Parts: sequence; structure tokens; C-alpha cells
Amino acid sequence: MTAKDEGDVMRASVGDRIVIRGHHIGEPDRDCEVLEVRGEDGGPPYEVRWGDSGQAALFFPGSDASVQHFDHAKDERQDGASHAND
Amino acid sequence: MRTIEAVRRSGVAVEADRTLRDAATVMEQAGVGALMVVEQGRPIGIVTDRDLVRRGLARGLATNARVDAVMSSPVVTIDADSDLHDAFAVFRTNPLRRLAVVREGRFVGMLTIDDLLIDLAADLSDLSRPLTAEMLFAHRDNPLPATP
Repeated sequence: MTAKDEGDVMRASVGDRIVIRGHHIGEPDRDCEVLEVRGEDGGPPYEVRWGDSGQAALFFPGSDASVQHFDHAKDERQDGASHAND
Repeated sequence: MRTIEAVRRSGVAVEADRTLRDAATVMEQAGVGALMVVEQGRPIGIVTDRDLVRRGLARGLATNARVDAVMSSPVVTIDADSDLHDAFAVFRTNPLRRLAVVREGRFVGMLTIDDLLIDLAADLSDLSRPLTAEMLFAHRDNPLPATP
């Protein structure tokens, strides 16, 4: 989903990945992880962490950004099951 | 067209107490050349890669100096829901390349002259397409209606 869907408002959750497409030929896409949702109902801004640097910043999505949602509840269930099998 | 609809690139902001090194790293990782400096979500300054060099490195500031020591302030803002023509007017009357887009005083995005130029170029391309086709291909008159 891009930032312009659903009336211009992106919705994201903690742990989601935001991808920002490259603006020039040869410029790679960039991505960041949502650490905190500062807006209402999953809306922006988001506190994000960029790559491996560990640096956090506030992110305000434009039309170049899309969010990849993850099923966190499912991940937790799977983690629980794997620990139970340990 | 509303101003917020012309914002193409995502905006990135940091708090005023972050260091020059933090700002440089965020710029590199996020692929941006300017960061909005915010306080409680409100824009208080803007720092560019050029500011880091000219006001930071060139003056011998330490990399752990605060980012608000090199930022440009105050910030010129425009309301997110204002007409895009208002943004053109601001750029016309101020020596700016970037404009902070706000909603109820809170930063929501950064509008650049590049964004506007891209839109204008697309509009010009759309306008010139039928003219180009007319010049490249033989002009065909509609046949006259048959007279009784």
C-alpha cells in the first residue's frame, strides 16, 4: 500500500517495514523498520530505524513510500510453538 | 490541487538534541539531503548536508554538537490543505528550495522545488503530445459532408 491510498494516510504497526523507492536510475530502494507509531490509528509519523546503523528518526511518508505489513500475532504464535518444541 | 498531494518524497525529521553525526548518518541511510528539526512535532529548523559542512565541519564543531547549532531557522511553512498555487507564490517570494508542509502546526512533509518541476514537466509533456503528433504525422482533414 502506498501513502496515497486510503485518503493519503498510511497505516502501519510496530515492526512493519517501510520501503522507499529510489528516485534516480541506479539508486537503490531503502527501507526502515517502524519502532513506534506516533500518529492516531496507525497513521504517521513513525519513529523508524534505518538499516543496520541503529539510528532512529521520525518518518513522514510521501508517495514514494509503501509499507509491508507483517502478521505479528502469527509470528508470536510461531515463536511460542517453536519454543514449546525446544 | 492540494499542496500535500504534490509532496513526492518522504520527509525525515530529527529532534533538536540529536548530534551532527546522528544527522549525517540519518541523511546517508535515508537518502535525503535535508532533515526537518522538530520539537513536539513542530518544525523549528531545517538542516541540510551543506549546513553540516559549512556551519559544522568548516567551523570546527565536534561531531557530537547538537544539530540545532547548524540548522536554519525559522522555517517557512505552508498548510497541507492549501492550494498548490500558494506554494508557488511562497517559492516565488522567498529564496527557498524546500518548504515545510504542516497540518495544525505539525510537520507532515517537505515540498521541494524539484517536486514542482517534476509536476510541471509532466503537465507540459501532456500538453505537447497532441501537437507533436500533429507535426509528425500527416494532417487529416475530416471529409466534407456529402452535398445532396
